[in-house]
Amino acid sequence: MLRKSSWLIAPCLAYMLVMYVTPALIMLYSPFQISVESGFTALGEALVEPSYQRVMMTTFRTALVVTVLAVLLGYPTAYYLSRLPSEKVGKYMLLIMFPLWTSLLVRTYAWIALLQDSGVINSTLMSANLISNPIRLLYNSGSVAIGMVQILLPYAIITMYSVMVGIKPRLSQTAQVLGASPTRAFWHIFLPLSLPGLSAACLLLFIMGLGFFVTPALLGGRRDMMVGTLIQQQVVLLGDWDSASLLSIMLLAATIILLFVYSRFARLENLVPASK
Amino acid sequence: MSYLSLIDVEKTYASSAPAVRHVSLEIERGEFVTFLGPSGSGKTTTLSMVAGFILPSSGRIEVGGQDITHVPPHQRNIGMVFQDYSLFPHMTVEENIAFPLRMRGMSKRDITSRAGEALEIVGLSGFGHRLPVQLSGGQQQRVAIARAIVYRPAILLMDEPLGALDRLLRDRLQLEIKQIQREMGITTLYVTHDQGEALTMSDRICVFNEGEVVQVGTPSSIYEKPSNVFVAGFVGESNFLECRVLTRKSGSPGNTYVLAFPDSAPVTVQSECILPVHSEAIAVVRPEHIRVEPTFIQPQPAEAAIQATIRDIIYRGESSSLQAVLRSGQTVTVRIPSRSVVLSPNQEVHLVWETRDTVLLPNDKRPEAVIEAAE
Repeated sequence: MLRKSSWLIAPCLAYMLVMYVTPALIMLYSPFQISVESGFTALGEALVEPSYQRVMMTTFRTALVVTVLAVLLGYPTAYYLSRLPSEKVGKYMLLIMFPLWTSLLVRTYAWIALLQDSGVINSTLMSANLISNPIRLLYNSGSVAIGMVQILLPYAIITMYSVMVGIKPRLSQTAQVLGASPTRAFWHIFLPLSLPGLSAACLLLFIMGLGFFVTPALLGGRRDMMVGTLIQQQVVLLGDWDSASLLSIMLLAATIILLFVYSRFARLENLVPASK
Repeated sequence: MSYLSLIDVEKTYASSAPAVRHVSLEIERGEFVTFLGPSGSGKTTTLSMVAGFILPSSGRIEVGGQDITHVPPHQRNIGMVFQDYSLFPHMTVEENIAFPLRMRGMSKRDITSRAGEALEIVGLSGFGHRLPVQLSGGQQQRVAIARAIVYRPAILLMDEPLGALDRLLRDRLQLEIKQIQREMGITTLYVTHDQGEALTMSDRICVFNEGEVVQVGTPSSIYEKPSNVFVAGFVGESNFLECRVLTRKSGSPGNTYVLAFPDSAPVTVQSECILPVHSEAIAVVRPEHIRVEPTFIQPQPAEAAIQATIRDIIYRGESSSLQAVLRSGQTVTVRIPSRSVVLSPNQEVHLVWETRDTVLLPNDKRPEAVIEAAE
């Protein structure tokens, strides 16, 4: 039955092959066009290039900070939702998904409207005479983090929720009747059982964070440039496809390494909510 | 002096009828008491109140004279076993059993030796390093039992612990649980809807129906002297014969009634039940107490006889179940040893039973409704 109907995925597969896999391969192939050796030489040079290294460091640091913040914010929410009766979860989930249906640009420009020198926050504080000069809220690593956390939070919540909802409430009751206070029942039973969801959310957010482009480009300063912005500059401003390609290879390699390491410790399927 | 007391315990929910109404119960130290009843009868709710998961709307629960109504579950020192085992999936068997000891701050050495003992009691030595998923259902429930008794709690609560297991395993674990309970002298509350289980295991049975305790007593008193139509229908099989009270003679220990059945000579029955003359009553007769006479014989003075037609004979192995129809249209079930069946359907027979095997009850409820509830 499964085999017979597998042609159903053919259109989608063909589309992805032509529109995604092929251009990606062409892009990745670009530095190796002349010769394979010269490609690897260029890649080696790119890896030790100080300006690239700085951007890479910023990228990893930002992704890490954003991941930690979003998971810290998302965990209690996911916990709360997972303990609700299932018929009540739907409306909360709608609220959580709602930002995902709002244009990324709209949400990012909204942050600019809020945070800029003449923005809502600064003008409110100034009219209340709490500050005399506007605070620099925009174009720094803080504004980048705020914007990215806001976008990534739904993914964190949904990924953790899908694991937590499988943890039977009975287990916590059992732990309590066996002598654990509600707090200790959480630490000894719920938290360890939710770790697959927690780690999946961390990985997912970190990988998504590495590739962010619009938000850091619009909300960050020049010193907060992330690799996505750098790649775009190489192509659009400098027409340097080879460098853009080398940076993309580095980004892709980082993602693959992370996924590989994760798969050694947990099921990759934890990353997608639908798998049970 | 009772050890565990439920004093007028009640649980009401805003949206529905009370889940538990006026439950009062005195349980001795070391006693094995079963809560028996259909699902939704309030037995699990009552157990959850003893465990501390549910706060009673009114009433008190006392252990050894101390009010524990508002004590949180982890401070009650109660052991509990659930139908779904509820083992911690991320812990090995040994870690599961060690959990309550760790929560009590016991030393590593003591934990290891105690957990080992508990595993031995349930016959699972050598399984300590396995994970729960690597065990069968019966083994998982044994681990859950070990975990519930390892800290020698004052009270053990069991919520349909054998409900998910197959027949043979259930019978064996019934005996094992009973043996462990007796050896440890642990006061036990056991919830089940299986009347056979209740009759086998309990010192006393507490029958629940619609949120109320309808009878408390030893298994034999519950079975032989059901105090109402519900209990008679739920515990064991029963025939409910409608009759009318002709005369009553008060006496001691009980009253002597003369009853009129359709198609039968008047029958004299002793009963402690008080029924007015001319009132409608129900005579409860167990299927195994009736014998079938193919030809009419004059009943003995202490016997009752009633005419019937055999409709069906159902073979059940050691015994056979006979469905006979009375003239009134009522069906009566008779259980007789299979080897003695020399009857055939549509045969006219007489059903005979000793009058002392009759339990007389007021006809306040339609028996059909009871039988439906029991199913």
